[in-house]
Amino acid sequence: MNRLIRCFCLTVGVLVVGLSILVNPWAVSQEALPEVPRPYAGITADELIKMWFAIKYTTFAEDIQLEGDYHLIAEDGFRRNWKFLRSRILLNRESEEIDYKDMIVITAPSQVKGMGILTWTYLDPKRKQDVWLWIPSLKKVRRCSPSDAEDTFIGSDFTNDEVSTRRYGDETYKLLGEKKFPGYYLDFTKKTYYKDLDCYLVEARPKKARWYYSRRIVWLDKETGANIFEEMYDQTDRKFKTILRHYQYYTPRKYPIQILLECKNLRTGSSSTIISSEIELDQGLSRELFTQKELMRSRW
Amino acid sequence: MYGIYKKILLAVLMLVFTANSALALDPMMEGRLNISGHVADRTYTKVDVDGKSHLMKFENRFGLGIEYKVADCLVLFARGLYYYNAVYDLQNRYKNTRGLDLRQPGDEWLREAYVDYLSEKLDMRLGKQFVVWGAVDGVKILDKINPINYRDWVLEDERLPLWMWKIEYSPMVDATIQVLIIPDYAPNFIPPAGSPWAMRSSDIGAAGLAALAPLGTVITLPTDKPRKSVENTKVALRWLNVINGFEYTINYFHGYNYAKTAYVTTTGPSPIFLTLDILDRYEKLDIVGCSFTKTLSSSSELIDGLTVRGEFAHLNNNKINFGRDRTIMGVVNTNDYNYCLGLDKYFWIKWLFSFQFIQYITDPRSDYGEAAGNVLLFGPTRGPLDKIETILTLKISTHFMHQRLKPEVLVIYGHDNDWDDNDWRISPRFSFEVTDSLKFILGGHIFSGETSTLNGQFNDRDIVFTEINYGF
Repeated sequence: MNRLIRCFCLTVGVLVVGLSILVNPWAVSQEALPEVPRPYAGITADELIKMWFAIKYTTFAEDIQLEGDYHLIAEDGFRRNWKFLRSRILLNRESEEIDYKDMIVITAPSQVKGMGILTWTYLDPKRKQDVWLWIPSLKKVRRCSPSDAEDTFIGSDFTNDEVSTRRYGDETYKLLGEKKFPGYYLDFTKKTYYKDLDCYLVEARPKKARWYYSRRIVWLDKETGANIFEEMYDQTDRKFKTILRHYQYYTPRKYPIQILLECKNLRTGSSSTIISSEIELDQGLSRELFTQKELMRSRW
Repeated sequence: MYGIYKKILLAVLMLVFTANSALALDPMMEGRLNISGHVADRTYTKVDVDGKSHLMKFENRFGLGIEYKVADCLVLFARGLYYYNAVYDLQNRYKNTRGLDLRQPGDEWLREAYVDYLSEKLDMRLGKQFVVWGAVDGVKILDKINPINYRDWVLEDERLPLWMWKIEYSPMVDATIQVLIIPDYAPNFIPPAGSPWAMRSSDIGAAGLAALAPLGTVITLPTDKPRKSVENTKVALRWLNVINGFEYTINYFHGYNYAKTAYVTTTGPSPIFLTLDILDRYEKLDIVGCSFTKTLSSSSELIDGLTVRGEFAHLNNNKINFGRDRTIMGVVNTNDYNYCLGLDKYFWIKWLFSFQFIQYITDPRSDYGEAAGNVLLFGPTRGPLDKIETILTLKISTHFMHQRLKPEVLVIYGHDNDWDDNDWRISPRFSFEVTDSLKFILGGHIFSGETSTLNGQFNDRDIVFTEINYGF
């Protein structure tokens, strides 16, 4: 009998130890997701921009996965078309450090196929992102120095600042008023977007003394708070860049998700378009998908 | 016994691919079968101010990879590479060395062939593969899992694949235990004397044998390398963890050295009746090491965004040759301590500076006749090896035209305690994206230094190179 008890205790012990290793000790129960923010009467410029950053980084969602299609039409007619898979997990509700983790794996063309980029972004806006790059031809995960915010995002007309590093608080904001958006014709899709949409107009000025723009005029949808268009001005106050953002609203919580971005460089005439499709939200993605182990799964 | 397993695995892989090739035509299979490849041309021209410039490489290569997802958790992958380096047929000076492994890939055409089992906590890869360790670039401190093919000195990371079983288990998020079980073995491929990238040690060895042959010396050249067997299976372990952005690994490798140690014995009264026995032995090797990386944030502009990388390895009971410059007198056991510190930082928006400080410290465990004038010998050159060898590297890279044009320059400088090695390599490179699928590269490699040093041994082989690469 004693032997039976000993065997039972041993089995339970082994099971407990095994399970404690197998079960992710950092996993915590999901808190209730926050409400999707919406503009209201009397809203300030700062509150509007805060709302926009929540939309930009999908902070009201748990996670997002999508397929991306990046097109560049350079000033000399050169065309680039890359396809990629992107996953993002928002951790700011359960972590005191990490805001979100982002994984991009390029699927085409073959010259860059399989390249993976894992980025950790921290809640502390002063803290630099952690970046790992998987180079399939070298079979190596390489810790990278984060690119400068002013530098181009994968060779496009967007800067890293515009795509991933700009935060609320990097600029000062001033509400210029309300206006109907005149509409924007996009060559790439041959469509006009947002004609006569009611918008808030906010002026954003960078706090940094020397920066690649002196101010931005941001058009925000009055109904959702989404930034649909922005105009950027250089140090001589000449408009040099515009960015269009088109959204799709995902049920049941009406998430505004960017499905099309176009950046036009007015100095050179080049333009970059990023189209997102197959968007999936709140799938309960595992944190294991944002690790080096996952990066190394890419075979090309 | 091991060969049977290898053949069975290869046959299973081929069967699965063949069986599924018909299914691949089915539209339902879309997304499961993934094929990609490239064709490329690499041409090296040796530059000589005396007008003796000549072609050093004219290689056309074709690579094809096939990935098949049997299920989300089960993936098959194979990648082959075939190349033909026409320089061995075009240049008389290299004709004597046109072995299969130089002109064509020989048995090494199959670069990768494996089965992947994937799950949230556990990944397993079984088959022919590469595993790369370490956090530094261009130097191999912890990166000792696969042997190296030195047929082309300037080709980055030309490894030889090995059949192995790789297990990656995550006991918690951002931490992984990697276990490698490697029954396969292949030594480093050292190009023979007379080939374009022959090392000084090969040239000295060949010249010595040629000088002794007319004297009637009996020469035997046995090789003692581990058989591919279960008892010779190599084992490697790596623990990787990221805590608050600080990434570290602890590594252990137990196996065999891919570089040889020469045991020279002579018998007989004079060169005429001499018997010379040169045994190339691949010794057992244990490596314990670690690596780390961290990106710093600071209010100081100089430090903010700086990425620090480091790597350390202790090679226990390594065996290296000693003697005089060019001449092997014996073998001595050493403890080797190798480490590297690297710093990466962007300046002026898009100029990436990557600096590395590397030291190789060799600590002999017994007397090797230093007082009598013996020195430790550096394997690739059979020249003097200092107890502390230092290498500094600096890579500067940037981009223009939407990252279509990517210039970079790599500078490698090696010196010893006396600062008399003066060993240099300078490698500028321009890569240009012609289209999404077509890339053109123009570059060069300039070598300088004593012939007994790592890069100085190629000081008569400065080259200009071009590469055209089309991917599909």
